[in-house]
Formats: sequence, C-alpha cells, structure tokens
Amino acid sequence: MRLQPYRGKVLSVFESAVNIQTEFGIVSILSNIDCLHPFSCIVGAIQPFPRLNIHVGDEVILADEAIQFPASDLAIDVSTALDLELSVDVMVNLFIPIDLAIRMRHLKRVIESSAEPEDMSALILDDRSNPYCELIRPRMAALSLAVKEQNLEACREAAASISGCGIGLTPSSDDLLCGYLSAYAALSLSLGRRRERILELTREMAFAAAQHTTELSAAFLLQSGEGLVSEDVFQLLRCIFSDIAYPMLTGYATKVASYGSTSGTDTLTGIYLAITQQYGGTDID
Amino acid sequence: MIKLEVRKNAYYDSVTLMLISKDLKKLDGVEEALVGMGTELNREIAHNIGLATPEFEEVGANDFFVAVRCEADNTFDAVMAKVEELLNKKAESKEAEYFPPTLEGAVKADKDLNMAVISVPGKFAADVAQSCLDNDINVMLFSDNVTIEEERALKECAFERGLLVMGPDCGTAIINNVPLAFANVVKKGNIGVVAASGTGTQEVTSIIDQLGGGVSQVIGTGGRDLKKEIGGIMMKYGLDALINDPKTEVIVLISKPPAKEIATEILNIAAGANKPVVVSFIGGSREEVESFGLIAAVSLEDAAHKAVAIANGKEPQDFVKFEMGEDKANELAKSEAGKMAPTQKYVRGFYTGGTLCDEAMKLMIAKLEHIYSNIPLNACDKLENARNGASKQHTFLDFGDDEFTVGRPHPMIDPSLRAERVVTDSLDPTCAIIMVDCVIGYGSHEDPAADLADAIVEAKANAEREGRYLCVVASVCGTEGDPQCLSTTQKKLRDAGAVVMPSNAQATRFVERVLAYAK
Repeated sequence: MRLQPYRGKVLSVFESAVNIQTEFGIVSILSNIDCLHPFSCIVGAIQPFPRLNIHVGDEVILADEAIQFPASDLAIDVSTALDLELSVDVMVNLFIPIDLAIRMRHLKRVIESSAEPEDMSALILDDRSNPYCELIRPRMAALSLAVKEQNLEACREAAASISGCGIGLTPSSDDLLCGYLSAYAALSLSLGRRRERILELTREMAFAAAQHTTELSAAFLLQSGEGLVSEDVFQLLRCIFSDIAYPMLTGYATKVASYGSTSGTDTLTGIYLAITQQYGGTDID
Repeated sequence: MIKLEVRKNAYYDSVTLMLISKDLKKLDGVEEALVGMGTELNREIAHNIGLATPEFEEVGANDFFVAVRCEADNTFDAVMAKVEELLNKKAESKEAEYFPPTLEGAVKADKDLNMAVISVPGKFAADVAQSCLDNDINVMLFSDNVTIEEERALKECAFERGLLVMGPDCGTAIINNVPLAFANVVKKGNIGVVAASGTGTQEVTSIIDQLGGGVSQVIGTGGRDLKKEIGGIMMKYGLDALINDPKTEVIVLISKPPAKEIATEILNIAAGANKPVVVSFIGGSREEVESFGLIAAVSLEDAAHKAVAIANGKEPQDFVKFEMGEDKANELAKSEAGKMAPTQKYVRGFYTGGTLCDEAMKLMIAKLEHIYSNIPLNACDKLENARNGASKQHTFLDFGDDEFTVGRPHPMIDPSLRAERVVTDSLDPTCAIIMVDCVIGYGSHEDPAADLADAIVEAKANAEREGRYLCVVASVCGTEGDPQCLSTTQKKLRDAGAVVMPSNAQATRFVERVLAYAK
C-alpha cells in the first residue's frame, strides 16, 4: 500500500480470506493459515471472517496505518506489518542447477500425490484424463510453441484460449497459467535473459487471459504476468533454481499443493510444464 | 433432459464447488453434471459434453452455474436440494457462533464475562485492557509492546479492583482448568503455579502431569512483573490468591531471578503461606530461597518433581538424574561422541521457547564459559544479526525473540525458520550437537515435529556426506493429552534420528556428557 487512504468494497468473504475490490485491483486479507500472496495481508487470530459480520459490498478504507471495515466496526492495524516483496525480480543468484531434471522429478512426485480427478495434473501424468484437460492439452502445446518462438501475438492468442477452464472461483487453467508464467519468468532469469523482454511476454499473456475469466482469477493472472507470486511459490522457485536441498523443494511444493481444492496442484503443473517445455528447447523429463 | 441453474455474481470457494461437483454425479438419475463459473471455456466444455442449453449464452464469467443431464424434473429438484444442502452446510458452520468484533459487543452478548484474552497490537493493548478492567473483567494480555508505565498503571488498577492482569506478553495460563493461549492439557490437581515465564510454566506443568500430578490454577504475570518498575504486583497478588485457594495445597513460583528487593518481598509472602512453596528462580541463588525456609528448585524439571513429591506427602529431593539411568545415559553419550569428527566441537541450541533456551544456557554456562546468543547471559556474548548471520562457536538462539518474529508468527506456531537453521548449521564442520525443543499443546503448531523431523534427517545426511556425525538432542514440552500428543511427537523425532530426552534439563545434562566425551 503506502499510499493515501483509498476505498474499496468487499468482493467475497470466506472462512480464511476476505477479497476487496479496489481501483488498483483485488486486495486480500488472509488468515495466518494461508500463505502470503501479492497485494494481500496476513492477520492473526481474527478469522473466521464470516463471524465478524463482514459482508459482500461493505465499504473498506485502506490506509498505511489500518484497514477499516466501518460497517462492522472493525479495523486491522497494519502500521507495523512487515512488507514482503513477492516478485521474481528480487530473486538473486538464480541459476540452472545441474540436477534440474531430478528436481523436476521431485516436483512431479508432489503433483502425483496431490492430484485430483478434475485438475490439470492430467496434462503431465500418464493414465489420467478429464474433459478440462482434453480441451486444454492442444492449446497448451500451442502456448508452449508460441513462447519458444517468442511470438507475442501467438502467445496472446494461446493464453486467451486457455483461461477460465475448470471448477472454482479460480478455474484450474488459470492456476495452471499463473504457475506457467511465474516459472517461465524465473527460468528466463536463471538463463540470464533480459527482464524487460520476459516481462513484455508474460504481461501480454496474462492480460489476454484475464479477459476470459472471473474477476478474482483475472487479478491473480495479472499479478503473475508482472512476476508477482505467493510466498510459497516464491520459495519453491528459489529452491528449483538454486542448489537448495531437495527436501526444502518438496516441502514448499507440498505447501503450494495444499492451496484450495485443486489450485495448488494446477499451479505446480504449470510450473512443471514451463520448465520442462521451455528449458533449452528440450523436454528434460 | 438438460437443466441449468444460474446464480448471478455468486461466489463460492473452490473446495465447496469441488465437493458439489463430486456429489452431484453420484445422485441417482444424474447422467452428467457440471458446476463452475460461467467462463467461456467452461461454457465450451458444457457444449462439448452436451450440457449446453440456449440459456447458457446469458451466463457470465462471474456467475455460478449448475448444469445437469438427468432423467426427470424431480431428479433436478434432488440435485438442487443437494447443492443447497452442501452450500448451507458451509454457511451453517460459518454462522453457528457469533464472534463479537468489539468488547462492547461481547459484554452485551454475555453479561457474565469475567476473563478476556487480549491479543491486539501493543499500542492498542493497554486501552483494551483498561476497558476490560472497567467492566470488571480479568485480563490475560497476550500482546507485547505495552510500555512499562502502562503495565504499572493497569496492574495497580487491577489490584485495587481485585482483578488479574496477566501480562503483557503472557503466553500461558490455566484458570479453573481452562487452558488459555499456549497451554497444555494438564490434569486437575492441588498444585498452584504463579509464573513470569511462558514456556517455563509449560515445562513445569507438563512434567507435573507426566508425574501423575495436577494443577489447581496457573497464573501468568508477564515477564516484566518482577522488575523494579512493576514491583511484582501480579506475582504477589497471584501468590496471595493461591495461598487463599483451598484447592491449592502446594505452590510453585517460576521466574527469572527478580530484583533483590522484589525477591525479598515475594519470598517473605511465600514464607508466610502456611503451604509448601517451591521456588524456581531460574539460574538464581538457591541459598537465598532456602534462607526463607522455602524449597529451591535447581531446574524447571526439578520444580515439578519437588511439587509432585510434596503433593504426594513425600520429602522433596533434588532431581538431577537421567530417567533412563546414569549408565545408559553415559553409554549413549559416549557412543554419540565416538562417531564425531575431530573438527566437531560446538553445541547449537535452537529453541522456540525462550525460557527453555535461557534455562539450557544457565545450566551449561559454567562448563562452556561463552555461549553466543540473541538473548545472551553476558552482554559480551551477544550474537549480532542472529537471524541471518552465522552461528559462532557455542550458539543458542531463541527463535521467539523479536528479531525472529518481526512479520512472522511465533516459532511455536510456525517453526519453519528454526527447521531451516537446523539444516544450515549442519553444514558447519565445527558443529557437533544441535539441541532443540519442541513445544506442543494448545496454540502451538498442529504438528511441530513434522518439519523438525525432516530437518533433522536432512541435517544428519548433510553431515554424513562430509564424513561427520551430527548429534541431535531434543526434548518435547507437553503431555499425552495434548492435541499433538507427547509420545507421538517424541516418536517422530526419535525416528528422525534425534536423541529424545524427557525434559530440557535432562537434554542439557546429556549434551554436557557428549561434549565431555568428544574432547
């Protein structure tokens, strides 16, 4: 934040999250069982939020010092909150570890163990299929090709053709794209590619995809396009593109896998696909 | 027939939608079902699987839909009844209780309230606590960053009104058998505790429970209560309450050594209690306590043993043994030391409980001379940049100290930083032993041993790869009744390769033996 106070409206209220629509996008208040996401704030013991009389449509005032919900007589003090920069841009010393293929196998194992019948993991796991993946599979191949060729227009088209597919407020294919975009950005940084060029590509893909999905999902896609990721995804990408030991990688991947019903597994599938399809132009798996 | 239900701008969380999707397909008469948000691709899927109706064209990306191919209208009615049931189940669980967001709301909702646990940012905490006192409500002040002037004013006010102010920074209490904040499931009994230490209290009460004893009341005072500026107001008040409590037959006092004049006042009151009082001034003077005719404890564990012995009508003895027996402990220590490389000389203590860290350092300082720490016993042993910097020789870290908790939950809630440190220090060729605590009970992480066990396995493997042997010594603070369960937690750590001792004090004694054999 760190801006003049501005106003928003409560978009949705869940047990452990309140999403606020603002003119700058969606800001989330999350419980401390959740991991920090971009434009979000983790609070301590005040959840579950529905019991605090916060309702969809309530006015919210967001300022440096506090987030206020005047209708429910509630204020969250954020004056001493720690700011965390959750951008791939602040990752330093990323490189391609020599055992990247093994790291990807560890990641795949986590995806296998958390897979659900209707998620996107069927894109990478043999003997699985569902209508969502069958629709997405050829489009994902087109996206991969477009990214490899750095064809901006084709990237936009492919991303737009993928978003908004699956059950949930953040449909599975959007989580897949979010994982893909963030992993592609981290991979490119590890390979020493120019950040401006990467950003142009991911930003355009995200924008195109965001036009075809729910408001909340669109917000997450746009963040991913800017290289903004959740704290666990941030740590996972650091683990993949450094020599941090496998158990840490598996630990963070498992944390990501626990998001929502399939969101985490879909994100991991996107990360896996981006790296295996885009590293050196060969499938390292 | 194909039926469609649309709810405009309706938001349900993914877990609920997935449950609905799975359950609908199991209903009799349902041939195919699709639920989700009406994005273009979801509509396309509905077309692909033959569930699209003309009305589908009106569905938008922020609309929730249920599309079903079924045999009859009444099947669809059953489908929608199931959808409602699943959605309402979620709503009912949300609305079953009312959590008033303000004190005024809480007092209106229940006029008999007499205890408040306050956990708000420090700068607001004193005002909230004062409002509670004004409503004749006792206070447990979990918040820290309350000024010492505010603390004094609150405690004076509470004392005048016959109310408790436990805190600030009070992490544990058990009042009328109700555990508050970080507390363990301890049997009801005749031992009363008044304490200015969080994990110290948990260690004592847990061991009391393990020994078959039980507690009447556990009153926290906050760590600063025995400083000169506060004058031990709540320690004296709590002590007085326990003296006058007919259910309390033995009293345990726990604190770091107080200012001399405060200690004298408190020990004087205790001496006139007409009940046995065990005093654990962690690292303090035994002679001073005994000069008042009171029973001095040499460790937190010893305080518990003495209290239980007295409660059972036995003569209290110093407990400085190993539960596994001296011979077995020596044999095990020798075996651990024998596997180490010559470079391995130092112990690293990584604690989530501040008092446990302090106790371990105090028990070991005489032999180790210098222990570098973020909460050092001597100012010259202060470890700068403890969070991100490297350990230095013998290093003990309290991960609950401010440096580690800015912007993060307390390590008893999120022990991941400590787990990372265990792995990091295993790469140091001079590191011989890593000592850890594992505090369970209400408020703590649901399974603090899980991350720690993974870290121990990895740390040991790191050392082994480099031709070293890393000894990990752990102790678990908690009881069998705790949600995480003492024996289950101990087993996880043991399975990971740690030597698990029954108390922090025994872990400390064991580490001393290993270091002695390693020389």
